[in-house]
Amino acid sequence: MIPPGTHIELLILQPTPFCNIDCDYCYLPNRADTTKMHPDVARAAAERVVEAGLVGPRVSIVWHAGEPLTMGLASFEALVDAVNGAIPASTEVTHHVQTNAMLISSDWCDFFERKSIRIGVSVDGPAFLHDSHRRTRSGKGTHERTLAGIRLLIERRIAFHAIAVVTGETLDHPDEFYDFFSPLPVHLLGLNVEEIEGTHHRSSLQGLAMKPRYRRFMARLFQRVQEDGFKLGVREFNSAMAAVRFSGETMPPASDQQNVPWRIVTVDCGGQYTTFSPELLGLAWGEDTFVIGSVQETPIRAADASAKFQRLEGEIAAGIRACEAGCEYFQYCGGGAPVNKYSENGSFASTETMFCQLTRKVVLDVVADELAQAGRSPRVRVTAP
Amino acid sequence: MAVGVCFTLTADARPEAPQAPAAPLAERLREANDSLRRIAPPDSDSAARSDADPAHQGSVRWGNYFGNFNPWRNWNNWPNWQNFNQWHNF
Repeated sequence: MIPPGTHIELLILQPTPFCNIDCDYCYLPNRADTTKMHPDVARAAAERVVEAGLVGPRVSIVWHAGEPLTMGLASFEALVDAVNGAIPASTEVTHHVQTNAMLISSDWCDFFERKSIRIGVSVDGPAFLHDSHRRTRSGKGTHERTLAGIRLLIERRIAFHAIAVVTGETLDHPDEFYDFFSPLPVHLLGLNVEEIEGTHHRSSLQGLAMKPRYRRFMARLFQRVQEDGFKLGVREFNSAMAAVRFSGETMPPASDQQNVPWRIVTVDCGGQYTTFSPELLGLAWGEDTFVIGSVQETPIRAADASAKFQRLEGEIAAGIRACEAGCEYFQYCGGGAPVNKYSENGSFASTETMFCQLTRKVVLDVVADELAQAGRSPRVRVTAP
Repeated sequence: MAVGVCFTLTADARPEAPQAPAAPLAERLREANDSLRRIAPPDSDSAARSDADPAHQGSVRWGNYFGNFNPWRNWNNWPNWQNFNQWHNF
């Protein structure tokens, strides 16, 4: 049963599986499939969450998976309008687009402004890092075209954040990585590790040797951010700093958006949906999939009552309990991301993953140790007045 | 000739941190919190002060560590931490 007061935070809509590039670490299946979401599907998706009483004072609509801008502007705007028309005016709706920026034009910028769309750009740092993995189907690098899109956003003063995938190669170049991002007006930089999930079965960050390397990379990056007075906001550091700031105070344990049902609903271009980790949509679950309904046919409360959902929720809850029982980071993690447990360990009812080691444990360790060290060993510098 | 001296806190150049932290996480976070309070006391707003601020010449310029960034203001809510646990792909 959906607990009273449960509100959806992210309605993730996959407008098309198609992507105009072919990154070698991508976890998404069917990236050559050019199917597009129909506005009726987008409208039905919004209607389902409203009907289920999941929409509170605000909701974020995330257009993600495939490259959303390949929809074409007119088709994409029709989807946005269909969603907006189905959500009560009393709810604040914010649309987000995650894009490789290659197709951004003046017309797209007009649209972003007109609809107050929040933009996230996927860019992995300098060209030699970015182009190693983010290539076209014919093998060409995409850095130049991504930068052209970024330049257009900057010229139009459209705010954007950036997400960079960190691979094994990135770890050797923290300074080049920082020097690329620090002059850009990104309001936040998110570091995504190269994950093992979906169709991507191996990561360059796998293995015991990678954890100390990742730690060295993050420590150096933190030092560079600190030396510049925290002008570049890094999502991971900001979050860990908040944990430091509140340490010693009584706070409720964190909860992961991905392991609480119905805080995220993900809908593919045909209208099939699931909850928990968005990446589950499209993955196999034995002979089955993680689809628990169709927005045209299945009310969310019916999906919630289904045996399939109950089994999924039960296995994920077992994994959270196991993390709580055995991990000192649980207070700050909330039990981890189900898709990473499933993809790395083969079971939701499992605990540690490479993903949680690198994105939670190492980050907290680095920030705590860097701050503690700074307080222990201040250097007094004598300067002229 | 007048001579003035001011002190500026900067992070030391230092050897690499140990790979396996010995202390429990809660203890390390508490030490980091204590350090944060020394570097930028929460009640002084010093983290946002510029070294050029004449009102504070001759005092310890703790704010150098954070530049013009005030950790107590910018990280002053627990939900900031929860951002860590938001879906990370957008």
